[in-house]
Amino acid sequence: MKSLTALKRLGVVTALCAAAAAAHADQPINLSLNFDNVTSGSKADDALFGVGASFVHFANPDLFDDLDAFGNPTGTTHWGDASLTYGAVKVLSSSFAVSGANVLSNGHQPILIQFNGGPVDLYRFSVQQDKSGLGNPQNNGSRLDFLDAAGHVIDGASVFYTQYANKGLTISANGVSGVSGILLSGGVDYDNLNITTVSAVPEPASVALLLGGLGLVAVVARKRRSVA
Amino acid sequence: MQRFAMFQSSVALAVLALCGAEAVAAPNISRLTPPSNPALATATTLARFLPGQRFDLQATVQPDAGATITQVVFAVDGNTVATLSNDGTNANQYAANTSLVKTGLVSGLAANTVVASNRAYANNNAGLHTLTVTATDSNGLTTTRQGSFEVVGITANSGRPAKNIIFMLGDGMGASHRTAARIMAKGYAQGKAQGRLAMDTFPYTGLVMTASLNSIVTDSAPGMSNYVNGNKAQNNQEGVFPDDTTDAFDNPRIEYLSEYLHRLKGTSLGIVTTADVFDATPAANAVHTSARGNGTGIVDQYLDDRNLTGLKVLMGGGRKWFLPNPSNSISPQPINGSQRRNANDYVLAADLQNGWGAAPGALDPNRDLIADFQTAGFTYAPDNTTLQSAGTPDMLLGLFSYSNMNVAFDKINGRRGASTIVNDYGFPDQPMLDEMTQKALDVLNKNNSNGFVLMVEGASIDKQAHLMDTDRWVLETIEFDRAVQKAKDFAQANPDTIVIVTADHECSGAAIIGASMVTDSALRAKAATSADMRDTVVGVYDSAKFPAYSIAGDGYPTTTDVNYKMLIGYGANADRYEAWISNPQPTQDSQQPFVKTAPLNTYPANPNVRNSSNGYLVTGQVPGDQAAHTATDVPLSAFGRGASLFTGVFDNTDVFFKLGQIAIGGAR
Repeated sequence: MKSLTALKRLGVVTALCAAAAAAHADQPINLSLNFDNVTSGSKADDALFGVGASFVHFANPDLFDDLDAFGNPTGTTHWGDASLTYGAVKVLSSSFAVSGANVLSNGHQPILIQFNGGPVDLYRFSVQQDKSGLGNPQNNGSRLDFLDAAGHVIDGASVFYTQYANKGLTISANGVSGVSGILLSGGVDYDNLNITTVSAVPEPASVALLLGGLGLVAVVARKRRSVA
Repeated sequence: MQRFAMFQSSVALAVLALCGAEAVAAPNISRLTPPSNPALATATTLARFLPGQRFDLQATVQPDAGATITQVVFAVDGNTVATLSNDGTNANQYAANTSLVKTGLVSGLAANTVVASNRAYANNNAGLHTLTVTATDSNGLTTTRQGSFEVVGITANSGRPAKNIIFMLGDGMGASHRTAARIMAKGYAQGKAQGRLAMDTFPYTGLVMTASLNSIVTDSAPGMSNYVNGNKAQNNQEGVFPDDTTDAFDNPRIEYLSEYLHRLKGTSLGIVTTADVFDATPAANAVHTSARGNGTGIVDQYLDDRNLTGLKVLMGGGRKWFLPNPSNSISPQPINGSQRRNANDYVLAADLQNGWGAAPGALDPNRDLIADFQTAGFTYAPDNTTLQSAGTPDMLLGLFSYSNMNVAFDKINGRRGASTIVNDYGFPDQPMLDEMTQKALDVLNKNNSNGFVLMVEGASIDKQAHLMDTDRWVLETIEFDRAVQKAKDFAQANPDTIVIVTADHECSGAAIIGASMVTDSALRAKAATSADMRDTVVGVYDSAKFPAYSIAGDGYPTTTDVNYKMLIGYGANADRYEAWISNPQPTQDSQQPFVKTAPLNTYPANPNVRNSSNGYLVTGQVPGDQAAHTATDVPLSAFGRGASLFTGVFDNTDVFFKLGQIAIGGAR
């Protein structure tokens, strides 16, 4: 029984290590989602199982104050995950899907795609807004933003476009470095997401996690041998 | 030489005189819409729009005597938008979304004047734009007039957009009305308020300038309209610019917030009021007309153009406009209470239908509009019992009286069994505003994937302030604040919601002058003279102390006639008799169809006869028999998504652009 528990622990630790390794390995991410692989009403993260769960997750974003060393607002803000307040981003069936039956939906609120392992160098990103024709009518009044590790918009990287009446518009960008998150504007639902990175950029903390995890594996394996 | 020079001058003058006699003048473009100052760097651009917001371009062109207008061209930033050519007949011309109107014009215009329109124009580019109209007449002469308008940009990703907008409008509610409600509902002691109104707890407050297009003192039509389409309307007009035609429903339109967001986001619209639903404030969220009194057409448009506004909830008084009137007359008044008539109904021309996608309308006094609402899927509630038992329908129509609903003072006393005023009106089971608000929120939040715009009006703060019936407007403000609490509760549970509480204007110049120095019984025993009722009653400064009221379990004062009660003066008052005690009967409401018959005709006719036997005459500064609106700035308090944008002193039209940013571009 004890050996079974130890085996379970080993499995969990190994999975953690594997996820960290996948996200931080110096290898490109190539993710394509049409959101038709899950049922309507599923969490958007469910659409990532088996294809990219270790790379990214979908967050319901909000703007938060930047704080100084004493915890006081500095007057600037950053984007972060507010899914606990607003709920998870969903996959929903929509007559406005560009392909298939489903769209990526946050009730026309913005959607934040966060890279699990920290900043990556983006080779190409593309997504299609749905075919509703809704959204901001201002010419080049909507924006695809890329966020740095602190959740700040990376200057000069944003892509401007017009939402309203542009049914199924493809929004894309190439060659953005140090991206920890991608912010999709509110106003419409989305479909056919593609992310390709050149490489991930390992962070010291992630490397420490990986090494720590491997160390734990070694300890557990040694204990397991001694029990046997 | 000198003589020759004089001869030359004489000849030149003679030629000039001859030319003058035969000269023809170019056309005169006497009105250009949207109205604007010249596009000078120092000029204030009057007309502003959100990106893509629709509005009409219009020009009134008057030819010289004997000439006709052959062509009118609209251009924006030098690019032709529309070219309208006159067919030479006297008949009005309509083509797609354009028109040349030649008949039905106001008097005083030159012969052969045309009003040229290009309907539902929109511009998606932020910045200042130049509007140019060029008119050509039958003599081949042309005139150009230039104006400007601005498209106010939206900054994307400025935060999460607000999904729901709740606009709480206390009609006529200035700072004094808020303070008086706080004193009565919460009490003060040792200099501090013992509690806060719900609107006091909103974290951001600013001051709003309320002027209309043509006056520093607005009425309720521009007062509401300016907030929700970003442009100044003329008094008595809602959702339109002024024009030179006599048709009240063909004025140049400006797209409302409800219409704009319904088109861009699929939002729903809810309108809740304690007034007759045709009244200016509710109508100025959905209906476009230059005559706020045209009840039949106004209520018809609520239903007919629901596909433009997303209307899902309509609640208030006003059944008189919804009931069929086969006689097309109100003399005599039909026994069913209907006041539908052709004279205030609407029919739209083709350019408005084509441009805006608006319904054509019809002159149909015999229309059963309640039945038509029900056919369209609305659940109908004629009283509070039905309203509360209706569950949460998809769409809701509630009409709880013939015209303006009874006020909180009389409704709550009716519920307490202390008054039969609501029975006199024939509607003993009317909901309170907070009950209507909660039901509206429940309905709008059902299947609420795209959000909603809800306007809730505490209408009789204004109406009772006009009548200088202090006890009644203070209770109206307390009732309104209880509705504000419902909106705040909703926003706390649904954080992508912005709630703003404000007024369209101040009414009556109300001021809390102090408090009575005597008990209620002593007050009632006073002689009806100013020496007795003013000099020995009105306590100012230290003598005012802190008036104390007790609040019953229903949330309202057990009585307003407490000892040492709070006293209100009026800076915009007409003549009135003041007795300081509550009036057992409300003052007559001319909107009620049966106001001229018993028992309503037994009520006091107006403030300058009311209390004439037990009060003293206070001579007013304004003519007429009611207090007037004032130009005083009004407070605006905000709660929820984007609330921080509502600080400082700003124009009522600014509110629209703040809401546009919050709803589309997002805000913290």
